[in-house]
Amino acid sequence: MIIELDSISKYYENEGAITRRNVLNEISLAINPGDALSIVGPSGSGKSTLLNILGTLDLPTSGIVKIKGKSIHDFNEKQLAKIRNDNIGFIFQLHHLLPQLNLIENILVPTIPQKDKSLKKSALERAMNLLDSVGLVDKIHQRPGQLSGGECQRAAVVRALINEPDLILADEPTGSLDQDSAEKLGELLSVINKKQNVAMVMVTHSHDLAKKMDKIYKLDHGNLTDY
Amino acid sequence: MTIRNFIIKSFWHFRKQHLAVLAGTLISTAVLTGALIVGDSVKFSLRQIVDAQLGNIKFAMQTGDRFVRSELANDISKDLNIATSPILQLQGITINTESKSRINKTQIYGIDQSFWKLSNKIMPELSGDEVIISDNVAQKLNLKINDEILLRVENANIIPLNAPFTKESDPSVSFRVIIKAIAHDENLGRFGLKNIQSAPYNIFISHDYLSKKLDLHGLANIIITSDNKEQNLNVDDLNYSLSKVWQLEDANIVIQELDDIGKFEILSSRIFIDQPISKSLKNPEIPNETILTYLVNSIRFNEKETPYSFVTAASTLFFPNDMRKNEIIINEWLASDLNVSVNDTIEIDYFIIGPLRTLEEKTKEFVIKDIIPTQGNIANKSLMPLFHGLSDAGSCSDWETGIPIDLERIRDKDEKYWDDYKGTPKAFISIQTGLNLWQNRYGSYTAIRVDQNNTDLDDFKKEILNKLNPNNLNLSFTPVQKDGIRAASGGVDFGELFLSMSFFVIVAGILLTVLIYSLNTESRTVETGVLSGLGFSKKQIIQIRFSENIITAIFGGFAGVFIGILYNYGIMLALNTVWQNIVRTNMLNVYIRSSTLFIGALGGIVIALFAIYFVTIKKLKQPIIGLIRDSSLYTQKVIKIRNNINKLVALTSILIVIVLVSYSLVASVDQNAGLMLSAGGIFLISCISVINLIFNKTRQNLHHSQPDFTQFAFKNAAKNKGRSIAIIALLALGTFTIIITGANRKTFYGSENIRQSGTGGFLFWSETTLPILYNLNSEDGKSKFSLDNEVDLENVDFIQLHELNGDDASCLNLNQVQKPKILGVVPEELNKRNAFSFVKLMKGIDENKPWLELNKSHEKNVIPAFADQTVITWGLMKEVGDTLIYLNENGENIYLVLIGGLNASIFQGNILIADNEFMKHFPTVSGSKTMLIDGPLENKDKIAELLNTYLQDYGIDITPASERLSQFYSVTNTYLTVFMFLGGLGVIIGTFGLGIVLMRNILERRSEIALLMAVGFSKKKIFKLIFIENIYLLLLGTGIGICAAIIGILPSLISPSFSIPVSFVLLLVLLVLFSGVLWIYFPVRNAIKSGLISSLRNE
Repeated sequence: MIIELDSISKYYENEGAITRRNVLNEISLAINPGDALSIVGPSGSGKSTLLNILGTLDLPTSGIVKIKGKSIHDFNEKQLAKIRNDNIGFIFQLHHLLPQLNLIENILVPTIPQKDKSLKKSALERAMNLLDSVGLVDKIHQRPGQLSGGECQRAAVVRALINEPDLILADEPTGSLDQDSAEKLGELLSVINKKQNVAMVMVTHSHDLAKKMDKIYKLDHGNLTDY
Repeated sequence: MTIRNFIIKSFWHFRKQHLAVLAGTLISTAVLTGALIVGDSVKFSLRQIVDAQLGNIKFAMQTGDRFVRSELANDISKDLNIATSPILQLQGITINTESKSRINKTQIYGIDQSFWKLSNKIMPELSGDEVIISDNVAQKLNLKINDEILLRVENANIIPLNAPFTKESDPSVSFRVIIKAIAHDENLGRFGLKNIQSAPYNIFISHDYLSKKLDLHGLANIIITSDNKEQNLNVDDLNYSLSKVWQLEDANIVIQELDDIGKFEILSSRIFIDQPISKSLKNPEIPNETILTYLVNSIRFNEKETPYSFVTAASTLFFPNDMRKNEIIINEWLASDLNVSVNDTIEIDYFIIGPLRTLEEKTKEFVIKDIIPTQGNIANKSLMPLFHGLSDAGSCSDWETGIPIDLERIRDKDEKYWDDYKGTPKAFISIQTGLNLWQNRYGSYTAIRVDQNNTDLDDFKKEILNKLNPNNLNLSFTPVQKDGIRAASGGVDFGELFLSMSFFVIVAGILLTVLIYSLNTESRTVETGVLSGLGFSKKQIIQIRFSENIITAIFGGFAGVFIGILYNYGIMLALNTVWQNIVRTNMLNVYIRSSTLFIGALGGIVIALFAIYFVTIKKLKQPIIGLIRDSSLYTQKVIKIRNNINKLVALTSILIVIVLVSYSLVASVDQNAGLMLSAGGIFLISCISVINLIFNKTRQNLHHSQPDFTQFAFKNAAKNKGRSIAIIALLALGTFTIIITGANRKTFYGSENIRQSGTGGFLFWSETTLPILYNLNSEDGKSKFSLDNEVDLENVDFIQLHELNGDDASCLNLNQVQKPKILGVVPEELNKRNAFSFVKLMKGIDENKPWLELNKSHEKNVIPAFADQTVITWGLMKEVGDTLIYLNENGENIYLVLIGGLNASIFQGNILIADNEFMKHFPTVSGSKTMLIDGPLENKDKIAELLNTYLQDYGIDITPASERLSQFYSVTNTYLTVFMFLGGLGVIIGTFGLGIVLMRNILERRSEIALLMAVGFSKKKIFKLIFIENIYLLLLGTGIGICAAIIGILPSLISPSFSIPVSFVLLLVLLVLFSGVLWIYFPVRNAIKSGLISSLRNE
């Protein structure tokens, strides 16, 4: 099991608010290698919060999060960073490619903190293969500003895969793309899941995209149910 | 991809942002380095001045009021194989008779050619009336080579001028001289043994010529020496050599043989044998006679009187052992004149001569024990001391005694006695009685007689010399060069001073760095979040940020060093010109040490990196999600804690301010000013905290109505709270600094005549080149200077002060002073006027009558003293309660305990002790050269005019007391000007920061502005909106600064003697506001007018 959520809850006390807002209620979830699941739900239903907790970017107010059987609550910031770098690949709604770097450099950014020397050594070759697979190999020297939104988002997918993670977390990956690009990206993610046996959790509004995953969950008023 | 590549790429990509950070680093480094170089430069320049003053001179012996043989220098030279030179140094007045211009307080140096050997260049040999003048004399009096000048030189004498029965003589000797050469700095033109940076006015004249003019043949009062070849000569070597080669003449001792009575007689050429000498010679193992012969005014019996007779007091060996203290032996001539016999009681009238030749006539009764022959082995004229003007007088009518002689009282028989027996004493008393009556500060005995016992005169002289120690007469060498260097390097540290004065600029530079870096970091918040999301740890992110900015900081640091050098040149130029009041010299040169540059660069870099580290850490404390979304996602708990801390800071600081202000207003304590200044500073902090809270509330407040312009603008300011508060803080701090500095400028505005002010309410401070030997308050004293007939001087009081020459410890001297000038004051005179005020008094001192504390007796040689608090703190670097050690004229240590610090006064630079203590320890200081003059204010000009006229030949400089004080104030004011200038620079940097923030805000709010335009806001309205928003920050900042400053200067504001230069302060505040408005107006106008609109259209 890659990751396991055991009865996690989360609530926020936003600035100015008098009462607290429950975002997640007693959610339990287990993700195994090769799993592909999507989470759908209305805006503000807590999808991104759930994804952030899965990605160790946020902690639940209650409940336990375990990665590979170990509770992340016992880890310090450095260890959590290592877990993210080794095991998790993030794809954000916006590509968040760094403007100061060209495409290949952006792809290789996650290899900087990577401790695995062999992984580090083979990073460039891997990056080229991945870029080839997403059709961006001829644009490796271009800056993010010179690429289209779809190209940037595909590059972001490659960046998420560069350290060969066990789990890809995608937060509205097609939210900023046109329909055609969104369709292509969805296909790409599905292929990656299948070919590379990488578990994938995707938060999306798009039912078409959600359907490309094996299982769909619905998050509504903090409760996670099968869709 | 490596971390290094990532850093380099990021650095290059964000180079424009880095340039702005570089600007901040550059400013703080430049100011830091500049200030440090100022310190080095001032120290180096002072060291150069020491070199110019001393050339190759390493040691000097200054004999004070005594004189030694010039040949002594030669003897020491031979003994130690070093270069020496004897100097006869006196004060004088130099007059350009053509232009009538003059310089009082010229140093006249009688030198021979050996003097120039101690400089690197040889000057022409002087003969006769030729002189070499220093170039500042040439400049001031507009003189050139071959011009003729008039010198009026202090008429010095071997005999202390105020010693009893010293004949009156002209105070000065005048003669014309021809200028043979002009001595510049490189050939000892600046020569002087005082540790001060200002150049003395020097005249060098032939030693032979000067000593001939003053009747001081072959004498010197300074001996200077070089080092030996091995460069290892020390003071002990020199003092040992001095004790080996000195002669009795150097101690002013004369020994003569009295063969008829088989004795040697030891006399002093100073008339009274100095106490250290008599103490050394009164060896109980050697039978000796001690003699004190005194001139009495009259010896009376019933109606009969014998005028002006010598009476000798002698030790028991000389007279019968059973001589009682009220018994007297008289000679037959006197017995006959008064018609008295044994057991009759006679009266003797005599003068006691006090300071400034004040005479007090006293009477003593004696019972006649015996009558002896008028002349014999015991009673003869050898007992009369060598009173010049008396012992060499042909008749009684020729007497010049220094006391009033009524010639009408002198009878023919008295003249005959003088013809027959000269000054043979007419009466004899016991030595103990004589000492009780006539012992004075110049000595106890006029002669000591010792049995010859078949001893050769030369052997006896050697024996006597062996008993004496030059050190006991305060004759010793000092390492003048070493002391000079120490004083030059130990004085006010201009590096520290300028660092503290530049503090605000440095803070402004740091704040600017922080502000700009914060803006940069904010613009890269998402990047930080993404890196966190991709598995970079906080440490790695800090490492990346740090490494990226190290390049900027290092470059900024090194570039800042070069700007710092330029900044230093600017400061040094200002110090040599417009700020010369501080340094009193134009000889300051820039001196750059590589270590200083390195320290400056390192300091600037470290400061910048610390700021960067601080901001990065602060940013990384935000949740990662917030970073990725570029929004603050602090939990309510964190926000609550922060708000609570804010409230706590605000409430606590307001409470502290209230407590401090109330305490300061209710209690009259010395530290009021300090407390209120702290209150002002804390008030500033409380205001910032309150503003922070208001901003928080404004952000949270929900308006249900249409927001007006002000609310809208305030909301916008609150949105970027950190930036807004940084700007407010910067402006508030700057305004606070400027007002505090401006308001503390020293001014009078009518308070100068108040007794408690720094003038003591006195009209004038006057200094003369030549000592005034008489009490100018007495009729006799006034008549000596023809002041007795001037009606305008009738109600004028002269407070004449004795002074021991020393270094100027005022703020006009940059050197660290070890032994400032001592002034002997009469405490009662100042007490009765309740003059001056004290900043600090030692515990146990009577606060109501502090001056009288100077009279209180302490342990032996422990003397209470006052000084200006500024002198104590800055000149001496000491505190009230500390002790200064001097050598008195007996070669003993005296301990001056600083029992109080005066508020800024005209005494600045001096140490004040009671006059009676002064005269006890420095008896040979003759006359007074410093006077405080008290009189009716309405006659001020007339008094000055009269004194200038009558005392012109004494080289009088009459300075209105307020003017003297304002000279010292001008130093303080110049410092404040510098501080204000640098503070102003800081404010300009602050307003520059405001401009940067503003431009950044506009860029970030392009979409908001576009929206406003879309909904129908005109350019003018948008301009107004942004302008108001930023004017708020400006007004808040300056307003808080003003309020805090008002609290800070509250004690001064409510003090009756304080007047704030309102217009000056107002001008400064307006300047700050004006500068701020400019920095707001132009960026907003430009943005609205041009670039912004087109960029919006493009988007």
